[in-house]
Amino acid sequence: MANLPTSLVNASDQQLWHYLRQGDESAFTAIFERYHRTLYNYGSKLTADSSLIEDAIQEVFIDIWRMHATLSADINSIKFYLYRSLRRRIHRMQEKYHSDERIDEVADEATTPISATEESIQIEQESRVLLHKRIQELITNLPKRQAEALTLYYFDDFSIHDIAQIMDVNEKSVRNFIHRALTSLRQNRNWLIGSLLILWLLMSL
Amino acid sequence: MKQAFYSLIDFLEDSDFVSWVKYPDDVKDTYWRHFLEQYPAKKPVVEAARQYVLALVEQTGQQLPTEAQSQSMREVIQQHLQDDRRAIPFVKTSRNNWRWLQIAATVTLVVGLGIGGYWYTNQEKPSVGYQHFTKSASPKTALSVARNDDDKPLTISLSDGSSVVLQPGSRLSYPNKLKQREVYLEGKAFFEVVKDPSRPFIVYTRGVATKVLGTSFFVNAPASDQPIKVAVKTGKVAVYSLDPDESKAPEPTGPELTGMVLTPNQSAEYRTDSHELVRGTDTLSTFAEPGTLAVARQSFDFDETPIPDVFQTLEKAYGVDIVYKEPILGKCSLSATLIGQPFHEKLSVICKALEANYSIQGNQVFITGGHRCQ
Repeated sequence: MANLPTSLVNASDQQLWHYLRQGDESAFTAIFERYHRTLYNYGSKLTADSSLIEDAIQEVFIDIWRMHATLSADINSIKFYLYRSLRRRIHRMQEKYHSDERIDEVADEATTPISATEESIQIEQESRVLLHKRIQELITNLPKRQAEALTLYYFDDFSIHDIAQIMDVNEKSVRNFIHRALTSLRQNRNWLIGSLLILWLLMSL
Repeated sequence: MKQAFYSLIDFLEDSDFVSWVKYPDDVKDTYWRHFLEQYPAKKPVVEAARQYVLALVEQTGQQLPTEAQSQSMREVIQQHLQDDRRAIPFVKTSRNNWRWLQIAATVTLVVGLGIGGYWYTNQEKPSVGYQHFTKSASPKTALSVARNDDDKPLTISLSDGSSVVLQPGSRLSYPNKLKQREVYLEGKAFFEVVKDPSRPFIVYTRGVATKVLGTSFFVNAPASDQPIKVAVKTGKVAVYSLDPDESKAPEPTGPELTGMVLTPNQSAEYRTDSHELVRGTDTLSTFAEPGTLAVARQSFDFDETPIPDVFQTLEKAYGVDIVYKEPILGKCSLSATLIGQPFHEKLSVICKALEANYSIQGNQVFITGGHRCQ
């Protein structure tokens, strides 16, 4: 695609959208450059198939270009639009949009909140490396939609409201996804400390 | 402060807290410093929560594409854009994309229809012509709609090399890839159609279909109840009534010319109320009517015409701005008859004569190169 004029690199999303609707290819390119990497990261939470993610991203952008003249003028956020389009596209490509989602939701709704007092007892500093490693493992083992919600919330800065619309669930479900993920993070932590302790005991024998 | 009772997870779930950790600024710093002064016991939780947020942000954002993957996506998208470019009105391009310019024979066609809100999307029932159009288009083909909301003519280049000049207030539906060369028009347009006897070019309108084989013509039908007029400028066309009652009516998609055949300076009129197709008498007056596109009246017959005049003619006819170096090309002149050629072909012929190149961005045409004329 065309090299970006510097003015567009710094243009606001609203400006880019405006130019895109007029058929400006460099605005289109700027939007692609701005969002395709984080979209790919998000897509990887929806499927492990990297070529499927690439195909879906390509199709989302090709569609936007083809429809540029008919795109709505008052779109609030390009980013939101892209994420929601990508999610729908990937699910359509997997053709399993309905099969496993309902069950998942029921399971995720059943949440036991952890009380503040019980928890605040054990706040220790743990090493940064350990924490990162733990969270990394947790995210790969979480139910897909919990990892998806975590990514949209922490990495992509979406509000609960937007995440609900992107994921096609209500806001309460989104809060539950995040809450459950964070809860397993805490539980997993205690388990890990325990196993480290055992390991240490074994080694000191 | 509600945060006084927060657990670690409460902090992690608080979007204000997350926002402070990710994007600290003076206002947020002040707020949280104030909070910690009031509740010093919360310091360890806050610090732990900070570390968690940073780790969560980093670990949820680990799956970015490699540069090779980004490049491959860029290339695929670019390829699609290039494939589409021919069918998209005036997307930036360079001259060497237009390989079909070698096709010489063209047909010029003007179709005009009532603009009075008679568009298929506004109706409960799509017009017969639109039904025919969508029926014959393959269901997989994506349709594009071009509408001219400007007060200047809008030129659309179709993927087969034909160009359509849309009059203000008119719309054209066309498949992105013209496998069958079939379009649907609402309003007035001037067609310059590339000749291809194996694939007739069919313009569907509300009540009639016009098939182009090797000629050019003109159609005009003001409001929805008023007659649709078809008039030929160069070449040869066949006009078909699409009235649903006339089940015996020949199908326009066949290779033969079975409808009412019109040759230059002949015209036809379709009466909406009686569903009658009658032969008209005078084409020239149709072209001369006020409001007819300049491109339809133009003969594009240049004889030692100064280049600035040639460009001005094109600008007016196709609704574009032509940017060129006046000091270099201003004294050059052109002798050529370009009637019936699609827009890009005209530009190509002119540039060949000038030993120049052209590129199109938006509705601007940039002429580069060429030699100074004395």
